[in-house]
Amino acid sequence: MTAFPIFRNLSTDGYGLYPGKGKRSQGLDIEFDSGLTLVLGANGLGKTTLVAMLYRMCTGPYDIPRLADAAELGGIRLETKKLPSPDQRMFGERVNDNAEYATCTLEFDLGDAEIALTRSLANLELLELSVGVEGLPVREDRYQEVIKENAGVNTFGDWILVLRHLIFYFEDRRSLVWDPSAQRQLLRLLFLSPASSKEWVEAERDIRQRDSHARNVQNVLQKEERSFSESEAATSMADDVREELAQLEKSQKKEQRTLNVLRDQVAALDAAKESARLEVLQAESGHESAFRNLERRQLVAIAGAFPSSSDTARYLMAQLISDEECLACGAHSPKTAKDLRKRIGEDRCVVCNSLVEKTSKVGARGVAKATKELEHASIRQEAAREKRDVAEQEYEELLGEIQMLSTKVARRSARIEELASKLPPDEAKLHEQRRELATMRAQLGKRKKELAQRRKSFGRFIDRTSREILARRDEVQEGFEEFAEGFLLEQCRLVWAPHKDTVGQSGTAIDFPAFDLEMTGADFSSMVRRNGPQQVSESQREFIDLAFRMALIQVAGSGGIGSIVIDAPESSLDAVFVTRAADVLVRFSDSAGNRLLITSNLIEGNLIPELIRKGDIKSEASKRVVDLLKLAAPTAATKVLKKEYEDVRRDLFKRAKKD
Amino acid sequence: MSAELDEEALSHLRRRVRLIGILSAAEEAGLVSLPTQQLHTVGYFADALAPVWGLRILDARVLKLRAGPTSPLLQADLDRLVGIGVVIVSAVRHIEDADGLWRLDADYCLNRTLAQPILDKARTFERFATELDFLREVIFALSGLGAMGILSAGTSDASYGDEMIDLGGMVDIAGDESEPNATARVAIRFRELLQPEIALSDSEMVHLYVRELYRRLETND
Repeated sequence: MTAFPIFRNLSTDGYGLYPGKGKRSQGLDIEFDSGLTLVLGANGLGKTTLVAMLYRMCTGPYDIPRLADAAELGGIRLETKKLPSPDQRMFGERVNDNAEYATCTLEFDLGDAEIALTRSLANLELLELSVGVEGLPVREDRYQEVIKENAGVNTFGDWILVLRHLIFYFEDRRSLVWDPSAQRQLLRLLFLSPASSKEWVEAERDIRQRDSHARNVQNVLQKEERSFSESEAATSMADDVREELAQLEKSQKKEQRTLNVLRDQVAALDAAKESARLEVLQAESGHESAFRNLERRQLVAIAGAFPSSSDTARYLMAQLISDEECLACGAHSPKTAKDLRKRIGEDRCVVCNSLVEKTSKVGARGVAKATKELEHASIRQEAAREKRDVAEQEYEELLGEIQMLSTKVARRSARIEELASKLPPDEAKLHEQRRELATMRAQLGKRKKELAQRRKSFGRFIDRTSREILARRDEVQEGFEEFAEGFLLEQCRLVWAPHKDTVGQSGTAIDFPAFDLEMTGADFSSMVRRNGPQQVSESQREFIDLAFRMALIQVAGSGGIGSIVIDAPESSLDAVFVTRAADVLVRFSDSAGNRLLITSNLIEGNLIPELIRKGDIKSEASKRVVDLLKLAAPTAATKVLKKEYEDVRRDLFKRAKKD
Repeated sequence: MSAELDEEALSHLRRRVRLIGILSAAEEAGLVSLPTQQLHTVGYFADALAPVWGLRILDARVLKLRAGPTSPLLQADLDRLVGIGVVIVSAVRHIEDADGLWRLDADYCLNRTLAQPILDKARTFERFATELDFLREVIFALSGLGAMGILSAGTSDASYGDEMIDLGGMVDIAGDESEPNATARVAIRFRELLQPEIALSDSEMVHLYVRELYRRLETND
């Protein structure tokens, strides 16, 4: 079980950006009660700074390098490093005294531990640390130990992953649903025992290091081989041999580089091919369903024509009408099918064309609707098949190209060897070089073999541990559906879909645990796998991801609770979805013990009134409202337009009561 | 004749011969007519276990559905066999399954008059004769599970029932150069475990595998 932070209190002292209310006030003092806390502000008042401050109080002056900038987690090393000095001074740079005497104190629960810490806002230095009533040595490593021990994570890097991917939803947020590399790390640290989690991280790191090392040795070897060939060519060999060697070497170098590039593409094209194949299966299944639905409706319509019919005759007729295919001879017969459909439409017998009892309008409409659905399914099926054919062809072509190039490279290598062996025996230095090269090749071969073995064994380990994670699949899926269904009108579900990826830059792909998203849509009647954020609308994207995070917190969190901090959720919402969004957010905050912190500008629209009402915020004075217009240092805009801002705020609260 | 047929037509023929073989063996096993879903399940196992007999897999990828293995490819071939009169269909009905998909549900049996010459001809070739024998073993083994057992056999199968593949995911039984699919691997493993004391035949491996399915189904109950 992982413990997520349950924020209790955040206060600042002497920080210029948040002078606080009244003459004697020292700064911010935010109590996070169970449920929603709403931070209201305007541009420049420090909403995002407040979220960053909360984050940095948890991380201290440490982070995982490149984590914030990378589009996907990918193979980033999950080791924490001290922040560069300018980043440590980020809060100081926002105020004129460099926050020299400013401090921030955070109190939060982590499992059973009540943690309190104070940091300097000038450089994030730890000034005080206590767990419960016991004061602890004020050292960053001690703080990190406290976190690891009480959160149940293996490394401080894992703590940062939890904060970035589950707890904090920054304005420049990236989705977890569509980042399988981040998902795999989260699933590992949330659902595996600390020992298994540690074994995973260490084995993965070891393979990456070995992969990188093998590549380096390969590069050095190639360089040495080139230098060797050049040395050979420079000896008293015949001009034509020298020229051939030089040519061979040049081509070898070029093609080896191409080969490396191509090998790196295999996993991606393989994944694309598999995904396209799945799409075809789903499209075919959808098509079959649409076809059978139409067939059923048409069978109902033509049943009257066969009072003592044989099933086979009805079967044949329905197939002909629905699919325009004659099952007897296999011919495509659109004309006959059209004619028969016309007969049904005119309430005539499909066999003899006589007038029969009228088909109900409802039935006729049903047939028309089913026909449209089948047309739609056919188009999708065709498109999916084309896409699969292209993906399969690209994959096959790539494999073919790799095979061809590998053969060429191997043959050329043999030829280079052969030419080299024709060297005069007295060229001792060259012989020595050749011996060294042979040793290097043998060493590289050994390393590669070892690496392949480790990859295989890691693959088995991942398969085993994935099954441990799989045991929690249903809970995650149910949790997700519970949170998502309030927001989405489409049918939507998480599916367990292990994601193929290589460890390092080459080698066999391993199936890592991951969830994918399936959703119906305007253009799809059945659920379709959505492989990227671009395949859903912006509003859907944000809340699908949020529902996923909430589900993970609910399932994996100690006591099923945690905190979520969302910076400016309104940015991606259209007006109609605001109510639904507020419902989802409040549903999370309503679960006993959860903390939800939302920051928002004072904007028109319904999000704030909805949150105020549903979050049970009684008045502007409620301690659940952190009003930066009153607490933060005013900007030129909030000074000059103070009345307008106050009017907007008053209006928002008034609407919350009225709506 | 074969020189005039393209690869696609040959694939159709292969699959249709297999379907006729399944229905013929079903009749022998006392299953006079096979309902749609049972037929699809048997078709799936015929593919999944084919590597045990060194036979070709004809439909390597199926969608994982609540209803069990369902192949649009097999259904299209079945429709065509009905069309040419080789297969007789009865009790045709349409049902909306647990996944919300419309399916044709019917009972299928062979029209012996038209099917027997096809079977007789196929038997004259060793490869097809082996295939028909294999299908007989698969059907005889599966028939021991009973109708409900056959319908739920997919959930206990090493490939289709693999929990790592979620509903809506793709079950790929193609295997690769180094090893066959999980179903065939388990069946072959029986032979490895019993050697050298007992030399299991290919038929016995299929039967043992299905017996293992039975055991798992019983345990799940």
